[in-house]
Amino acid sequence: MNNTTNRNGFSRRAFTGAALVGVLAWTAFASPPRAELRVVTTIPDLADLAREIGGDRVSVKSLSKGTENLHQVPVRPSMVVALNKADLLLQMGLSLESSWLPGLLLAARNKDLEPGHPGFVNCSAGWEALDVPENLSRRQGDLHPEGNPHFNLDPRAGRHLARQVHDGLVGVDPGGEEYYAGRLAEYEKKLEAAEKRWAKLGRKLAGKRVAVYHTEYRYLANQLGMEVATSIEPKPGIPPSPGDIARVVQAMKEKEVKVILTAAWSNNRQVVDVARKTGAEVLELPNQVGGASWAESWIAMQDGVHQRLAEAFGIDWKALAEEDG
Amino acid sequence: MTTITMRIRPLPWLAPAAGLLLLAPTLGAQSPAFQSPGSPWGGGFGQTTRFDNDFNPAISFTVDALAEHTWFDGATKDGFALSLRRFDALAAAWIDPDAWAYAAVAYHDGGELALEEAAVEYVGLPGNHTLRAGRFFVDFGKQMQMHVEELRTVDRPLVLRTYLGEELGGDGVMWNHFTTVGEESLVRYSLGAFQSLLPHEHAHAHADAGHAHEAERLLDDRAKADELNFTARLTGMRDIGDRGILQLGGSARWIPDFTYRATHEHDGETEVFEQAGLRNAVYGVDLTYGWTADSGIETWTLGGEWLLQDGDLSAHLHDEELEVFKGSVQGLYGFADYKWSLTSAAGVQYGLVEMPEEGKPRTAEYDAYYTHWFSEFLRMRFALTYLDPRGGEESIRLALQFTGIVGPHSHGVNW
Repeated sequence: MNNTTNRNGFSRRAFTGAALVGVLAWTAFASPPRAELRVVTTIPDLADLAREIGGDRVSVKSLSKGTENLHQVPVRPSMVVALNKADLLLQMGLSLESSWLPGLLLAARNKDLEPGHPGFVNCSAGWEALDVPENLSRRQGDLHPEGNPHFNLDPRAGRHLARQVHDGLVGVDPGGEEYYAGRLAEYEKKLEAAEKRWAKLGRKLAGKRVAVYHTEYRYLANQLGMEVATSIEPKPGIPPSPGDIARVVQAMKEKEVKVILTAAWSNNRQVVDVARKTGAEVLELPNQVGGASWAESWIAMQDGVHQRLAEAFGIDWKALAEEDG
Repeated sequence: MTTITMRIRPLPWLAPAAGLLLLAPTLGAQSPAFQSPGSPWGGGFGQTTRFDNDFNPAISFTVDALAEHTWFDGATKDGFALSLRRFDALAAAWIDPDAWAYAAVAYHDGGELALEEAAVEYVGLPGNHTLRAGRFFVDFGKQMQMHVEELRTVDRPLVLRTYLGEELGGDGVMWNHFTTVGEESLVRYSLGAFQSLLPHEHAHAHADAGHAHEAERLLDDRAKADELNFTARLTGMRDIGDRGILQLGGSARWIPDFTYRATHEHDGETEVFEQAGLRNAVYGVDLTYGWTADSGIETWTLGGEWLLQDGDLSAHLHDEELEVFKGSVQGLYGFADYKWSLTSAAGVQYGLVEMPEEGKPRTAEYDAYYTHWFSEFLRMRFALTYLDPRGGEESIRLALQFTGIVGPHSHGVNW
């Protein structure tokens, strides 16, 4: 190898490289104008509420889909784009999104969405969580230090989340405060009517026993007064061994549990196995809005969940609804 | 090459080194709030105290143990090998509103303890620009940025470890930027300049009976700007429907000026042979497609990478003359990985490499593996590897790999 030739050759390459860097830098710093209020939510429930309250002042995108396991949402390029351009991020919090959202936020490089800024709203603020661990050890499974994060399935959550969404919208768009307040009031009227329906069904479901795969239905069961008799996962996030399955089957037989609640992502062969051995019915419920064809909104999801629970326990929810007229 | 690498007895050093890493945040916080005039300046913003620290970094440890049995189709002795292949200690924290830093110390099987990474990433630039400085793994393809125990397979693909080294880290600086294209696509590029990107191990050592001599690659301690080592990567990534992601990338690594040196011991005297002014470049193109079911759990990942290495590829001493093999060689790998549950995945990988030496002999590598996660922090893998150096000694390895993670250990979006 001839040194001189090599170095001259490389100098030409260095010059070309420097020119390329200059062009890329020039194009990179030129940012396109942004006009509309872009709202990004971590789950479809928050997207539904943002559409309800934001109306035509906002465009809304949910990062996760209704059928996904919220602890393991696969990252897509469109998520980075959405976060990069967003004005407001609504997250559930309680570490529900901790495995994927922080990395996405770092990649998206949108300072307006960083915690502490008006563009970042943690919707679990002010919510009293269940299952807050007394001590943190991996022996207890995949723990959420702040408590069970699946509170979107609590029938009371719509009211809490709607107010969080309202406050978040006003925080980044103060000019729309009156508009958002009006739409929140309208939504709360719809909620009030729905909450009456759910309370009536809840009185019939109180005391019923269910088995679950994961802990996402704790809030729902707790609010309805149902008993979670056993969990197929021995500890949150830990798959069951054959021994665990035997323990669950035994517990279900002893407590005469006839219904297993499971999400689409966890409706797996272990659930089928337990159902076969106990004769229990598997009731697949959505984890969030969009998790079933009938769960197109948060209120519709709660309606559908209550109706299907009632059917699983032989309660005629249609007749019950007609009783009230 | 400025790698801080010590060839030492492992265990007596491992414990104190790990302890030092644990103490590092505390030591860093020991700059006293009060300093007399003339003392080293410690910041003086009142953010540090001497004996406590409320701003703990995320600290984690990874233990990667390997049990393997290898059968050779030749003279090499078959048998078992049990090893603590790697131990990594990692600490990471935000150190400023616009910067985060991390460090990784690793123990390798064979008794080497090394500071593999220690870098600061500055994210305060306008637009989507970031700047990383320090020692870190370079931005080449998708398989070189992670520690080996974090890969899908037990080992890094053959073409990567042959052309780039087991790990491609360097001391330098890297500029990174991405831009959005529409609502579903991203384009990212990075440019890096490093003091040295030579593989850590000696390259292509040769020895004749009675005359130990090997050729190793060397860089000058100081270099002109155009003699530094450089990297570049350009990659695009987009959604394909609701479930798919397609990524196409191109990477390059240039070493524009290095020296091959070999020593020859004869009758108690050592002769040194050198060839300077050499260059080496590696170019890569990678393509990855990922498909995820609606649940987010069942996934298919198909991918591959093609590499071309060009320039001065290897050297050996022959008749008291250092012969440098110049030219181009190429290699590739492709894989298919299927994850069907929260806890189980399996896959296959095929690689074919032209070795960077005279005659460009080819070596093929076939991998098949099954991975089981007991939890997010404990993983077990069975792997079968068939290595076929055309004309050389074939081998089959059956490996059982256990990997455990203590503490928070995660990566950002790797693309």
